[in-house]
Amino acid sequence: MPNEQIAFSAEHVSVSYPTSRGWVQAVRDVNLEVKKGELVGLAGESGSGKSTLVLAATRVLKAPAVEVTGQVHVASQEIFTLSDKKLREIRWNTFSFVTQSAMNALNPVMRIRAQMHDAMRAHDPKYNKITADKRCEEVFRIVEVPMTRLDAYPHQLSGGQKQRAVIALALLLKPELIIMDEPTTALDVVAQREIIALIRRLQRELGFAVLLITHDLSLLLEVADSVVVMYGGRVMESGASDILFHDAKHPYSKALIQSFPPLHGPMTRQEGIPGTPPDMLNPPTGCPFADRCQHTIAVCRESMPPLLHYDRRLIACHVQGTPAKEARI
Amino acid sequence: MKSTESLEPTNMLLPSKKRKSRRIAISPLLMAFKNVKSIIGLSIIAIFIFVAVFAPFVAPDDPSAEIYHLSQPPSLVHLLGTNALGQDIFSQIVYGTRISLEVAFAAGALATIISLLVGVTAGYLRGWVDQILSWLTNLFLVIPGLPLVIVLSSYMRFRGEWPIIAVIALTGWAWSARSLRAQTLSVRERDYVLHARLMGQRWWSVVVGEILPNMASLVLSGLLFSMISALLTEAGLDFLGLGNVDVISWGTMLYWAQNNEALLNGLWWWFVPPGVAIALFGGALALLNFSLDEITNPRLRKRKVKFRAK
Amino acid sequence: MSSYPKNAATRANEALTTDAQGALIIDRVHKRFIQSKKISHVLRGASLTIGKGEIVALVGESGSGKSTLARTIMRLYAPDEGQLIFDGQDVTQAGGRVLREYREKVQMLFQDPFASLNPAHSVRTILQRSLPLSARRMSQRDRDNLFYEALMQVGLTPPENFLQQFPHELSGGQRQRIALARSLAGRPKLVLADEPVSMLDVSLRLGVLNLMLSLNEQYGIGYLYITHDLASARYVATRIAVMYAGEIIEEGPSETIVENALHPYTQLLIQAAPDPDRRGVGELDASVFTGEPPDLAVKIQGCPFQFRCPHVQSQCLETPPPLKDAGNHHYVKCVLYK
Repeated sequence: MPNEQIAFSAEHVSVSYPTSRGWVQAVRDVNLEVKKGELVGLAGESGSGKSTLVLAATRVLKAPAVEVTGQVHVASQEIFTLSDKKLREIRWNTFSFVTQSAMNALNPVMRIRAQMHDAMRAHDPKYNKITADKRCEEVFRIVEVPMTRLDAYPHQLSGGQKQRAVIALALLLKPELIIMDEPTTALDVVAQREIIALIRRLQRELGFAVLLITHDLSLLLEVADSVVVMYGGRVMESGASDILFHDAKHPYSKALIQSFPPLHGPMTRQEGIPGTPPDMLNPPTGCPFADRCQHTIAVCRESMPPLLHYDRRLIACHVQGTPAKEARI
Repeated sequence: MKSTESLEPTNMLLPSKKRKSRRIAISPLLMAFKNVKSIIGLSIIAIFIFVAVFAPFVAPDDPSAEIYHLSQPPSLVHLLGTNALGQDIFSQIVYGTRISLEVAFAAGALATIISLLVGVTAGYLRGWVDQILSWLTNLFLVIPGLPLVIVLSSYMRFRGEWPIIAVIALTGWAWSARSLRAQTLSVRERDYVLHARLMGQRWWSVVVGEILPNMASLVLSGLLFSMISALLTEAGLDFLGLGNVDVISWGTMLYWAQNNEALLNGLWWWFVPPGVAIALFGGALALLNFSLDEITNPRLRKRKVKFRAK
Repeated sequence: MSSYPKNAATRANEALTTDAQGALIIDRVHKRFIQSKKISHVLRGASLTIGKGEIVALVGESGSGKSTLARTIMRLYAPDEGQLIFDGQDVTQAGGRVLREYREKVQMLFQDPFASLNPAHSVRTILQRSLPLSARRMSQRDRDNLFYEALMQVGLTPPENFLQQFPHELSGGQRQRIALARSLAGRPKLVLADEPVSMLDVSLRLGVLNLMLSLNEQYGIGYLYITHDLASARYVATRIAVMYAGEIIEEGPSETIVENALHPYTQLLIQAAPDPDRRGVGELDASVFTGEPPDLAVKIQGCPFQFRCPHVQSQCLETPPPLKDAGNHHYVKCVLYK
């Protein structure tokens, strides 16, 4: 359903890929939405399917490496039905990507300016060297990196400058959505805060939406507008971050929030989550969290709980979410 | 574990209690028996070993007896015919296998041992020991192999194959030594080696217990490579007449064939069989080497994947 | 397993360690490295004391020198200046038997659970190789019982399942537990945990941290917990020491540091740490977070934080700031505190 207010939506997306031991169902029937100008956090641990979801949703992963079903809309365009040519045209224009360890994503033998031109030439049908040059300088100004670094090689930039350069690259063609996969994982806490503050400021000024993927749920609860929690390839709970922080209902969300000891306030003993993530080759029928959950009942192992609206959020749980209303999904 | 979700989901398959544990040592062996290349390679090598060990039973005649009709093409009496000196070629091939295998295995093993000693010591101890050993390695790398072998062997008095084996090993260890040194330098920095050293393990215990098990595939690959090289060098030396020309080996067969102008006289059954034998045996070793690569490097494995019907 | 969680009062009391027996004293340690003709002063007079059975957190960014300090404590390098004293014995330049005994009592837990276990060894082999020589003369059955006990102590049950597994078959959390079990064989007094949980999945971290706490409780094993995450430092440690540019610029009881940090850098760290409670308070001023640690190849005159400090004064540029005692074992190297 194309909707001007939605920057990104994934509907009933499933992604599987083949391995020597069989098909791994990395993502199973996921629904996700990012509104215009919103910062949505996608949280989950390794094996939750969060990275696979966005890589498949943006067709970075494609057949025969993966098998994808469902629909993805980016700025009202349905992604999976586009031809390769059309996809290339809208890529970087409507959405762009900041990958993990982005600092290593820069080509070490090309100057930054050349890499920017490369990106624009590939995705801007009206590429013109002079306007492109101006744009390079403009984005560098936006991310506050000295102009001299534009003609430098990546190794001549400091870590923080490289990170900003990659963000600048993502901003080149004024996308409506920037997907960031663990952009601050390799950074120190101070550098991380710097980058997040920069992103927030740019969002307010330029109006793009951000889908931020990270395992650091406490960061998301502080800075994101809404948070989606994934586990075992499914969305477990999603909603506004203050609602989730103060009143998470899904046992996994609650346990995950508990896994981050607080910086201030009373000190109490906290537990992680015992057990290990599920085997995605043979995912359990029923809720993927059933084995590790404190509140499992019989139905949890038999059928997968649907993702439904309940008490101001979306939640997939037989125990904590009652199917009072059918979600519009 | 928290970083990129790689496509090879090893962490997602861990460790439900139902999974049988797969030892690192055993599974490569099992895979060796499933991999097509290694099956072919091992079979051919096994046949050659059998022929070499049971030569007197396999060969119908005495290989050096010059008693048969001269220059007979292959027939039921002489499976590969006779040569211009009246010798049965099939028997010669059979007995020649002994020489070739002996030299290939012995020189290959000796070269590998030397390269291990030099390479791993240099990589682990570093410092001036590394400087000297590296210089030595580079020296032997730079000297042209075959000419050195030729020069050295022409000065040797022939008493059995061991001089040739020693010469081949001495000229062929340098390449493996370099790669073993590089690998040792890298493995040595890993945390588990550091931990072993901190715990007070003696340096030889660290090298043999911690480092070498992680270099097994490299060593094995170097061994096979050295064997192929030794096989070809030995055949080459014999062909040039620098080996003991009275001993029957695949290389000397080629020597005599060339001396008697077998090509000009159309006696193809004299020089083709030894050539094919060398190629077969060398090829089998190479196949084994390729399959080793596939077994130890998961990315090269051919994955049988069942694609679902749309 | 019941005396923790510790409330603030208990922790403040425990922070007063004056007993030098069994303590590790790092006294004004310097370490320089030479790289392509430039000398980097990685440790510039770092001083810290870890009392017997104490858990001290060392917090700092990358480039602060915390890993180098850990390696220097393990005597992978010898300090260029300063002293290392453990249990009353000077181990700064020690070798041979003294060094071996020291390294049995002070052990290191590595950051990367993948790399700290030999992939070619089974768990049994790993535990076996960590046994002191005296124990190796035992029968296989006795040794196995020892291993079962060790595995249960670190929470890996049923232990029989784990002995024949290989590292690649275990999760990150399980690997760190094996690494801890391995250290226990030497009956250590102090474990240097260099970011032991930062490479683990979030849900597994507390399991390992709680294990460290319970081993501390049961066997009196002290820890130097090195991390860049203040929240986990507060959870685990009774004292926090903050490291910047090769020296300790503030240290004190965990609660005091987190609620009442005096050094501008520590305040910066607290502001930068994720804190969901702070939601809606207002956007933090981003300019506070710019800047990077100083280049250690250049000899720094004065305070190392001068380039980034919002309250820098002229004396900060000239002389290194003195160490001030703020009471209650809270120390800070800054001119601001009177």
